Amino acid sequence: MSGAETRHGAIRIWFFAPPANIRGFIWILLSTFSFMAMVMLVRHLSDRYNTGELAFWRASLGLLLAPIFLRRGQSLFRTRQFDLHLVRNSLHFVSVAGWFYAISTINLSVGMSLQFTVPLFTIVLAILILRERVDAARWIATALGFAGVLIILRPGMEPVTLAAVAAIVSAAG
Amino acid sequence: MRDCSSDTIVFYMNVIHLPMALCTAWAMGGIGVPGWTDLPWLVALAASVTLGAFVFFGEVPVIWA
Repeated sequence: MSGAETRHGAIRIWFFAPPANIRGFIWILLSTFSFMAMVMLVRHLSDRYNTGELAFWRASLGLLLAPIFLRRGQSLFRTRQFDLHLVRNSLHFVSVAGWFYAISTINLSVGMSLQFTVPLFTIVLAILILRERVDAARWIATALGFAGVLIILRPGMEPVTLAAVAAIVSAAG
Repeated sequence: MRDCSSDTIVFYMNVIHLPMALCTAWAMGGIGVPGWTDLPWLVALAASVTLGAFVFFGEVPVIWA
């Protein structure tokens, strides 16, 4: 085993070592930090690169960086559900493109607020696709969340921009 | 039952997004070669997304189920 592989293995062991709840907390925190860094970087680069370019460099350089972050060997490619990957990533790409366009164009605080509609879409899709039961408390929370979106967008009082629509489409994706 | 590791999910995310992004970029005016000063920022963008997605998908169903 090479030195790089040993080091990679040690990082993975360290990464998976903490108890499940602590690991979940750390991972969500790290994920949130990474995605916030992404928002700032897209905002910084958006005056020189269009949405498609940013998505292209993100994906292509992401593939080049894969050996650093991801597992090596053939197990990386192994999946029995490529069709689901294709569907998920097609929808996800619409979400990414919408989000990149939105944060390049509108006020970041508005964009981030609109991203908080993700739980609203999650509840609706959980009912439609997963056939989950939703209790009254969650319906009330969903309605309040939707009211919050209307307060931000003020349809009828202010023009609803394409970027705001893109942010909501991104949240749905 | 989980079928794919977060590594695989992130890998296929980048693979499938690549041609879609290429088409989108061409439709929006084309792709330019990034300058040396922008390259670190673009690498940081790719790294932040790859790392963020890896930890986001990492074992989440096991932890929160």
